[in-house]
Amino acid sequence: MPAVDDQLLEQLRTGDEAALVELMRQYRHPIVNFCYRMLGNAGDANDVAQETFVRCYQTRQRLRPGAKLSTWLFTIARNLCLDRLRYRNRHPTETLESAPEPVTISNEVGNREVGAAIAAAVAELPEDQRTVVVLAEYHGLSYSEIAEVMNCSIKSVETRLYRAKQTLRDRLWSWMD
Amino acid sequence: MNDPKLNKFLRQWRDVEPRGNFDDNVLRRIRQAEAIPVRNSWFDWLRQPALATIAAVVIGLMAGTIGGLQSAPRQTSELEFMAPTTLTGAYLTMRTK
Repeated sequence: MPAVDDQLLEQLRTGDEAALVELMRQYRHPIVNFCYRMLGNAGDANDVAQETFVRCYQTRQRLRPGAKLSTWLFTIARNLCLDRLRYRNRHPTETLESAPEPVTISNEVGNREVGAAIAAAVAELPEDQRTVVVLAEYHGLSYSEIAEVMNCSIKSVETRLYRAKQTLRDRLWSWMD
Repeated sequence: MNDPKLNKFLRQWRDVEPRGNFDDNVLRRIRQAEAIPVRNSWFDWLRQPALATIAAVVIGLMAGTIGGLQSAPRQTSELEFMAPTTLTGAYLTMRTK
């Protein structure tokens, strides 16, 4: 773990708001994008990512010295995404506006279509496989870090990633040619 | 499964940018949450008059019920009428002999 993480963690534990601002500067982009790929909607992603940092600050005393901030943030974000997905399932009519919007910020039409196709394929994966593929492919987390985020074994991460990629390859093969 | 072609393809799903007021919204939410008093224990709930009244009534009813049960005469055995000193008991003794 980088020393800067240690220092930031210690400042955060004392309730230093400047440390929270620094934490957001470092991690808001990855957390927003993790939520975006889990929820498929930029509005919801920003909302859930903001709530992630709120929870992070509120539960800062639970942070163990030596803990890895990124893993901790992804764990909170994942739990909040699951809550949001469950809410959508329970209230389908209320959440029409926050339904997945598989669009990208790319200006190129071709890239946008490809992005939409990937988003649709990832959205159809079971939640656990989606989490693994997003954390591994888009955030570069190691298997052990993903296992920590998902509270499962490394073997389980490997299996889920294997299945997810098999499914994605089957669904996206026509785009990849 | 290490599939470089698939990995490269997946990277074409572009990132989104966090909203401009992201940090301000987080800090505002934290301040809002801190402004709401946190109830830490059951005793804090009892500080509300309505809940305290309900709790007092429930405790009173429970105490009354328990007290009433303890002061009631003990129920005698259902077969006490068959004891040897009773009429039924004497009759049964006579029959068996």
